[in-house]
Amino acid sequence: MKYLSGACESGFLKTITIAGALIALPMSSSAAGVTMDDINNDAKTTNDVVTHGIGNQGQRYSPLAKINEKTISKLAPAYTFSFGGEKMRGQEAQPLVHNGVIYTTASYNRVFAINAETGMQIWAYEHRLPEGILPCCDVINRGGALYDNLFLMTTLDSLIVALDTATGKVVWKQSLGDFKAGHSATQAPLIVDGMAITGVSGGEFGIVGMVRAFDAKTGKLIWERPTIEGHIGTLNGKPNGMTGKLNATWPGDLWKVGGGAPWNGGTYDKETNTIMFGVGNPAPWNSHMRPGDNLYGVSTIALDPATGKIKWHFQYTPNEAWDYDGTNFTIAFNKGGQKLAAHADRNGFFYVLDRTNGKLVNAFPFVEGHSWATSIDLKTGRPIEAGKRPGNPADSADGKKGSVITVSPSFLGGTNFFGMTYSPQTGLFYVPSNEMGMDLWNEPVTYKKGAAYMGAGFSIKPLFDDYIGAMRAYDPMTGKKVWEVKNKAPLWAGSMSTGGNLVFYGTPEGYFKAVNAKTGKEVWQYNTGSGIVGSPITWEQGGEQFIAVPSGWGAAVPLWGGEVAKQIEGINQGASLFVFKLY
Amino acid sequence: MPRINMKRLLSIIIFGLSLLSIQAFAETNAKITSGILKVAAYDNFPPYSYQAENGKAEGIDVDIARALAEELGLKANIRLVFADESLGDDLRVYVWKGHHVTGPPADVMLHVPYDENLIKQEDKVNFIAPYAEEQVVVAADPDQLGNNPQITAFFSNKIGVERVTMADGYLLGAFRGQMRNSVVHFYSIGEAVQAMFNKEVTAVMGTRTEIEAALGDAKENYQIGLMAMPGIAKASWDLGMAVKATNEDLTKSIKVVMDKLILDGTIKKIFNKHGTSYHIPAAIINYPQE
Repeated sequence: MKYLSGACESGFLKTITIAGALIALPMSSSAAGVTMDDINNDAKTTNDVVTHGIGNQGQRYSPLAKINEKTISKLAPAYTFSFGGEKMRGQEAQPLVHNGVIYTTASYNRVFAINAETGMQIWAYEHRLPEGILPCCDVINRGGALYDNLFLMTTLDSLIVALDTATGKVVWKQSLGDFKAGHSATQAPLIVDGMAITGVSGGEFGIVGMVRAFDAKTGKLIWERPTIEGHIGTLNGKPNGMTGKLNATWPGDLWKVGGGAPWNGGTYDKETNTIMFGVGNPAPWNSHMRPGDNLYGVSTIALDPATGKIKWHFQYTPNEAWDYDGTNFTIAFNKGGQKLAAHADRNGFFYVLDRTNGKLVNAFPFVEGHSWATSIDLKTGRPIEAGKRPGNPADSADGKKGSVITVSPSFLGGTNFFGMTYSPQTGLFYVPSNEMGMDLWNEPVTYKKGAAYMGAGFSIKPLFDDYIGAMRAYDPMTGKKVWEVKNKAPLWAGSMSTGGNLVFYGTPEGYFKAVNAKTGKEVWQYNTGSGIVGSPITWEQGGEQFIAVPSGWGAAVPLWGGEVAKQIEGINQGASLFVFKLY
Repeated sequence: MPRINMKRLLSIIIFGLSLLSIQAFAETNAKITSGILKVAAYDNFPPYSYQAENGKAEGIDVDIARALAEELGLKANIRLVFADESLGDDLRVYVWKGHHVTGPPADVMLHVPYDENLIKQEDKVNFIAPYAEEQVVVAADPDQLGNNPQITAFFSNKIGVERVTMADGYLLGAFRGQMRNSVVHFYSIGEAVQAMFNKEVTAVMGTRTEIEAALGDAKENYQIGLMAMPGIAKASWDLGMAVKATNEDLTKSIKVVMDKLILDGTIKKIFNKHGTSYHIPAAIINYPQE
């Protein structure tokens, strides 16, 4: 769902450099920058985490095993680092670590470089946000990217900014679209072949989704790929072919304003040389106005890194009507000699695709509540819908509220932006999932910018009395649920699995937890004092295994109304990075 | 819509107001000690409110805000804000609660629909002072459509709309979608009207004030009117203001001042100054019955 360029006057940016702290750097500050080899091997190397997803394929798995079921009772904080100030809003980032320095984004597009051994700040960067950003959601950021001597971040005012890793000073910045028109960005850029690749947010304002590749060292635009059929991509400033085929799955000219924001970022599989981006829902919201599948809304699109052309696609919810964005990560993994990719969609179904061609291999529900569709037809890849499509407001000629339908999952999804994790050790996927439904009705007269239009109303509700969130382990090939750990409040944070047979994840109640990867047995927890909505990482330094996770409640969850809000009352604000090791 | 005897209507209202006039001085004391009336109006929204090339806020709503502040003995501080996904969001951020990025709310927000359903739903604000009626109209190019075209003309002729508006939703859905392929989408009425000038569309459907302003001097060459639109959910609504529900002093004083500005013709003059016609709010036409 929702989340905010072009008018990037240099005055928007400012840097705060904490001089003197540079002395505390454990290694030479002129140490070698992050190379493409570092990035491509990130999932295997244990001394650093230089990509979002702990490897571009996004498995969020580390082979490190020093912290395991036997040793974990000795896991305790080494230090905490406060993001400080009054800016304690949802900390959704995944940190990075390289050469003994942690780099993490924080709310309000701040960046901190922290000595990974001592927890001392090296520099801080504070992006000055223009007053006009649309404050619909929260001032979150989901993390950055490292390449060469640069730290890259996308911003709420829709820029991609590259900072010098030694000083935090801006090296280059580029626009991802005018924030005044509704563009925004919160995703971590993806680094592939020396390019920084990112999408953009803002589909609910009718902007058409776009994935862009920039030269990561200079910021020069290399290619652009629109996500909606009918639009023309570019390569080196020249037209580079249409996305899809004009009017194949869209009526009239609605494709021109078709939404499809790829707002959560992408993953990259080196083995098949494929970038996979999830695409947001098509616009306008009322599916009856745009009969057809509306490609490539709510799809995974597989892109060729050299050209940005679409190699294949898979659409999860044709003619999407429930705000089931297809933006969750698509994660490459191999099984039985097959090159596969997995995607747990907002629509409540878990999909296994052949990542060489996008063909469906398996699909099964990962939430109890999936009343919009009974199952996915494995032959066609299409859902078997259960007659829960919202009515057409045009049928309500008297201007009265339409009939209410109750449907699950809610528009917040069976899972959302936060990554699930895959452990090659167990062969299981671990999905932070949520059991919520929604009441949905037509509102033939609602108002926007002082003018009437035909909209919709909704309210979210839990499906069960005892829990909303559930951490669930699935065998992707059989669809068997191996275990689950229920959680009272919705889970809204990323996960990580390790070679120590552990799965780590955070909860809104503030707990950072470790469970046995095979059984789900809880083996360790630590309360960070504020809700966790960020993603953990682990690395090895001086022979010790470290784990870091941001804590700080906020983001979309507190904005929910209704009955769900009762489960999250009384959670305190916070803004800290917690770093753990064995004692 | 029945014809209203405007003279009679005004005399009724003026009679009503004269009873209040004794209290008027007390009621126009908004009790704002700073001397500044903080007003929120939508940015990038000609002819209502927008940033002019000189960097200053201009437009119909801006002039109304200045006239209102002057009558209240205050100076208007006009903040141009962006429309969020829904009116409820705007009211929360700009009227009753504020936001951690954009700061505390304004004293009053302009261009807020005055609608009885909204009044029931939103209890954190007072909806007050309807000052104009907005209408969904069609501006048609007679060169392309002849005189007095009917809505059915758009089964086969291109019509421009701003995306996600009543006009857009109506044309996509009405007659079982048979006009859908004729609808050409734009991000603003201004762009749609430009396309009509270029003969890329035969007509534009949208709010009257925006269309009239976009047509400018070319207005005479196009037919602008309320077309019979079977099944449209809402073809007109009143524009008013919103004040935080707890701010009773300001609520009262704005009501009194705006009644005066409507009745003495100030509001009409402001609309006309910006090249647009003025339509008295339905809520005022119904005033004697309330």
